[in-house]
Amino acid sequence: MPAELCDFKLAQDIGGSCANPQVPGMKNTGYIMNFDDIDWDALTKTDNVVSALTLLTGGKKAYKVVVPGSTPFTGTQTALATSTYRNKFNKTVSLVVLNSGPDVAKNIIDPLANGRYVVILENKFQGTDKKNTFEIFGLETGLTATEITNEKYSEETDGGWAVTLQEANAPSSGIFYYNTSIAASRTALESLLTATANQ
Amino acid sequence: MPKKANYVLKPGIVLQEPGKNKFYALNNCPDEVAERYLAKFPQHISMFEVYPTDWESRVKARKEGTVSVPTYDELKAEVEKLTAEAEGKDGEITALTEQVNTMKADLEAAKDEADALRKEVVAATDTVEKGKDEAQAEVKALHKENDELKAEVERLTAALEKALKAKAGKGTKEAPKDEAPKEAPTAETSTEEGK
Repeated sequence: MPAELCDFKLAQDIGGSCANPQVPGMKNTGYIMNFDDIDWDALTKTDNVVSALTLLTGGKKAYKVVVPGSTPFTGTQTALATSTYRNKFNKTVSLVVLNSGPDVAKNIIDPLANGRYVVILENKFQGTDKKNTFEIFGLETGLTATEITNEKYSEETDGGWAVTLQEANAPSSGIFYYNTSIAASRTALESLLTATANQ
Repeated sequence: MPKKANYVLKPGIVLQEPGKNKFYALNNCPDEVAERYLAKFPQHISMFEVYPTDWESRVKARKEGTVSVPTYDELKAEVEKLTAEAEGKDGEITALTEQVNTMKADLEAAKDEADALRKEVVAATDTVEKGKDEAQAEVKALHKENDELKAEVERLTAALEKALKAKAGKGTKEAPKDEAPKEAPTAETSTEEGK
């Protein structure tokens, strides 16, 4: 592959849509999967849009993340991380685990503390072409835990767990999942909750 | 019973036929949709987790239009066959249910019998215990009687010894030989003495 100099030139007007204005927030349900379970060979991505994402065989599956309330995943953000050769982005996903106990510790908290993940969240703002609906965090370098706390009298977690996952130094500011329509995209994401065949 | 899908899409894959707004995921993709799609994009067989081993010949048949469509009579016969099978299964279920009910009734009867036997054992145990107590009381009474008799024997023995000793003591003081034994006073004598 020949050496190249990346073209970082503006390619679109800056502004919003009056008919379809930007709105804050996300919906209550997201999807999380292990970074290593993704079938990278089968991943189909054009620019910043992934149209096909599957998991490796061997019983791999994604899991649902549900955070109730009017402002779920509060704290989720993308921020510039300046660097020597190319500025990148630190992406943060904040979630609350409204549960506790030995199973939660073993099956959720301990793995989150030590694993690497990809999370797909649904934005309330879908964008004019609907492609903004499902946003992927962790696809490039993986999300790892930077903070996990359990405060018994916390009003934010009702005594559950507050988890912060971060993808550090991701080259892209945003990667999205879109497969022909929102309904088809949602169906495809829901199907990831089914384990792959044991081959 | 729903038919098992011949073509199952991999999790995460959604199949949408070009130009159509319906899409399929996992095992809800009909054979004809899968084969029509594969006829156009055979390389996309990798989208399927499960597919028939003869998928290529099926796709070819679908493409050439040589896939046989069942006739009305064939479908009717199939429906009748499945209905008969279902009725057969219903009969089996009824028979098994009756068997289960009979076994349940037998079990209840056995439980009742066991309860009755348990009660008999309890009653017999009570009787034995009661008999035991009575026997113990009788033994106690006999022991008491025995002790009383022993005491009476001792008392009589002591009295006998005493009497024998007294008799032996009297025998050493013998009366003189010429003395006539005193006669017992007769009625005349006693009356003369009385005057």
